[in-house]
Amino acid sequence: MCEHRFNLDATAGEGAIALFSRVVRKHTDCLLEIKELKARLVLEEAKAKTLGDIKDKASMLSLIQPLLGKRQFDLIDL
Amino acid sequence: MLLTLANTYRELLNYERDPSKLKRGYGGYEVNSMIEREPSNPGYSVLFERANAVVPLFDYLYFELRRVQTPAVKAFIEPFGKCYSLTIGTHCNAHIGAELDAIGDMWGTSVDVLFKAARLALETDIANSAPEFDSVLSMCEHRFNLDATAGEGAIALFSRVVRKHTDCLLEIKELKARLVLEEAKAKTLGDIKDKASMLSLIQPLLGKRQFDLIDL
Repeated sequence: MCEHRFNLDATAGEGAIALFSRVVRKHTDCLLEIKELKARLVLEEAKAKTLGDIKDKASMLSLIQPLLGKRQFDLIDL
Repeated sequence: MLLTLANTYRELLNYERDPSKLKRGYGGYEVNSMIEREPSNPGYSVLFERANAVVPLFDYLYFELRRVQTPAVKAFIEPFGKCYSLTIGTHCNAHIGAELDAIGDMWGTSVDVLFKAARLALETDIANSAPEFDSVLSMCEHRFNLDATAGEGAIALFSRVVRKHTDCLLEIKELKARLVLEEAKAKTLGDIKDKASMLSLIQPLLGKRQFDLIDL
């Protein structure tokens, strides 16, 4: 059961100590991967928050820009 | 300030479309907000009848627009402010009544004119904020490599920001899914590690048993 999970490339009759060290390595790699994913997640969440703020601002600007355009147009008309 | 202006403008447009959305009792926590308001001119008495939408609009305009410190808006709400100020040593109702008469003279008794006047004041100040608008726009453009084209405008910028934000949310979703999988894998590997550790402890005993059996 231990040998055939997670592609541990078990050699028949290799013995439990060798298998144990391979499982430990695999487990350590997995924990490192989790750590990296969590760090990336924190960064992405911060980025999403900032983008959300900018989105609100850009939305607001797109609402009022026609007014500014109108003013510029009026000035050209004069 | 530009964003406060724009926010207030958007809110005002919403209320202008549907005045029934205006809540009653704006500024209820403010001093003098519950002041008795009776115009001395009977023609304007409808201004403060409970059923008239001008009543909440009046409170809303004064207490909300007061946050916007731009020239046209300030000039617009100035007569409102006097209605909320009690002058010591004068006959309060007479003073307030006179101001309300002035407001009635300026905007009449229906919500439409008052809304239009408020909107025009906001539009005037927004139109005069072009330099500030440009600086906010460029701040938005130069973040996150949005590849903004000069003078491309806020609507195009907005759609790019929305796309970028959506991509970012998808990335977060994927990362979370991967995290769940990796955590489940780590848990299983942890269990297998414990079992393998146990096996490595007892394997010599099993070997010894096999060896003993061969000896027999």
